[in-house]
Amino acid sequence: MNKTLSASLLFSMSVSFLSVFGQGLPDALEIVRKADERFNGEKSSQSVMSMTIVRPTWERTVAFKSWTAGRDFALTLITEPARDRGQTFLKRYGEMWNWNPSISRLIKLPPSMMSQGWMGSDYTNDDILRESSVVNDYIHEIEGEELIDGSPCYRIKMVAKEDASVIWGHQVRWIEKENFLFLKAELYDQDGYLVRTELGSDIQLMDGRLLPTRLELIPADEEGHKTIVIIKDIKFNIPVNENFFSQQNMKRVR
Amino acid sequence: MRPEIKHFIINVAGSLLIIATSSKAINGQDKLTFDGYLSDMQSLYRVPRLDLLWENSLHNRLNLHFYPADWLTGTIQVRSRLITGNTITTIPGYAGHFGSDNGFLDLSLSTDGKIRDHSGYIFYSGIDRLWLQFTVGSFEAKIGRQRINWGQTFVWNPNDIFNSYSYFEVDYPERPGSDAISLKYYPGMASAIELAVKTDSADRVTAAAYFRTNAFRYDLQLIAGIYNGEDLMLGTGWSGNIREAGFRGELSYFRDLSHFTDTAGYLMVSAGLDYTFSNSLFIQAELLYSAFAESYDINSIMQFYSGSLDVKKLGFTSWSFFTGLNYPFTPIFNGGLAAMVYPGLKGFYLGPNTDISLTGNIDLSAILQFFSAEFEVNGTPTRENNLFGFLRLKWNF
Repeated sequence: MNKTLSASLLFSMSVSFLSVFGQGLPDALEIVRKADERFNGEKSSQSVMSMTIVRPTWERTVAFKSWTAGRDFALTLITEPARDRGQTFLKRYGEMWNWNPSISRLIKLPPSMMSQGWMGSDYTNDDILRESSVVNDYIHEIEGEELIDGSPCYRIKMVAKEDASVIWGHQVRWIEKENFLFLKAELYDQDGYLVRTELGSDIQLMDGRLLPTRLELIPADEEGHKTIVIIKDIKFNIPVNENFFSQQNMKRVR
Repeated sequence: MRPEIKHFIINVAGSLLIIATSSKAINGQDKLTFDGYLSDMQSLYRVPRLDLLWENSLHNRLNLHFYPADWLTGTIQVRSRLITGNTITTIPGYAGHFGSDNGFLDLSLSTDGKIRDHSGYIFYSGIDRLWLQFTVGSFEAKIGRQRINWGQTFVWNPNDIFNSYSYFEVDYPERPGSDAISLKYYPGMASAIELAVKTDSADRVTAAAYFRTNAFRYDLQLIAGIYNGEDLMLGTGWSGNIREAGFRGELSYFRDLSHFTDTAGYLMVSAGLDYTFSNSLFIQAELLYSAFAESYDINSIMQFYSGSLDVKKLGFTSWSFFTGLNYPFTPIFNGGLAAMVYPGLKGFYLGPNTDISLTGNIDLSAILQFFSAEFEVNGTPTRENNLFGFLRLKWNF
């Protein structure tokens, strides 16, 4: 039960992953917000992604297709591993269901199951669910300019506002200057210790936009551990409406 | 066995296969896909008054899915097993139990025999899914052998009147299908209306109307129908939450149609809570009340252990209690423990289990099942202990 349901939050990643791209633009709050909305404000998306957990002695991959509309609607189909293939997860507003075709069973997921991250990946629940705002919850400051993978980037320090309920004390983000692409981030806890590094790379044109299609999450204190998310395909503003996100369609998408 | 219908079905299935394979994929999606698994499971049974029983099961499942058109989909799913062991020579009727197909059509073949004196073999292959689905907008018609699953709780499902089966069966999550026709309409994004009718090898008809809706963050369902041609069945079920925890339940009422006026009905109720901690520890508790259990004369655990096809036999004492937990120690190493208590038999069940992911598609599972309960043997209460162990290597493809 748990093993299959634990993948339940994968679909949310397609939303949160996008939000990462738009985070932390340099100077004015208004520019930051606009950049953030460039991705989060999309009406809908369709994506094909994989997530690989890398550990010193093994690695495992989950692959999935996702459809989203705003923040309220999402449908995800697991395509790998074979054991879970065909399972779908539907989110409508605050409710979520899981469909398992091998046993023809629809399960309504309670809040505690929904807030569970993918155990063992380097994602935390906050990444996926809390949706804390890099725009509103931080004070931004340009610290300088540096090269990441040969691309000139703004280096921006973001300090959490005192009243913001965020798990990070501060962040340092490197944003590529020409296209405002997130290429690197360092996330620090409240005591100022580095917790995690994120790297964006493999910049490709997808549905007319340049995007880093590979994201690595590297925990600071665990040698040989990381989580790799790869966008294989993504389309924005596809013609889906609320009716696409139905229990009937959970059984039909592929 | 109805050979003419069997031939018809085989012809339809064959034609579908040809259509599906001869035409090119549209929109880059295959019109024919297949998946399944191959597993080998070693079982040991320590039961009273018998030598240690052992069994090996080489098990293949092959699922073919057809997508010939947007409005038409279909599937053929075949389960095949080669079982060897001394269970076959020790337990009378064992081979017959495996070789049977309880559906309206017999879509199985089986053969068995002896291997030397103390062990035997059974080869069984059967189609347990064979359906076509027609979809027009919000309407769906599914015809053929299918699983109709109306369960809401996790352990005992009194609402699941089409495909009841034993919780203790560790190697058959798909369960047998029903030979049925199901008509479904989706009035909303999270609601459904269904009419389903099935018949089986004894020509017993189960027919029911089903309605599910979503209100106040709860899934609520209502069922009314005829169960196995014998009983009026009325049911309701729900899935929702109390704070962060899942709260689910099912209630079913059965009343014998042939003694409708001179008997009262029987009630079955299951209800459960489940909660997942932020570290992925999953805990659950469930209870079952069954008014049928009072009339059961149970004298052995084996009596209820093997897959029951009757929803009335889900509980073997009036009250049953379940609690379980599951914890993924790492993403590739999962452990669980289930426990049940049957006060009426002064009995309990303990089921520790573990799953290890050896590769992305190969899993090793170890499961123990321990039962202890008190039965009347020649007028004296006698405690009976049973210990079953299973070790399974499974490759999903």
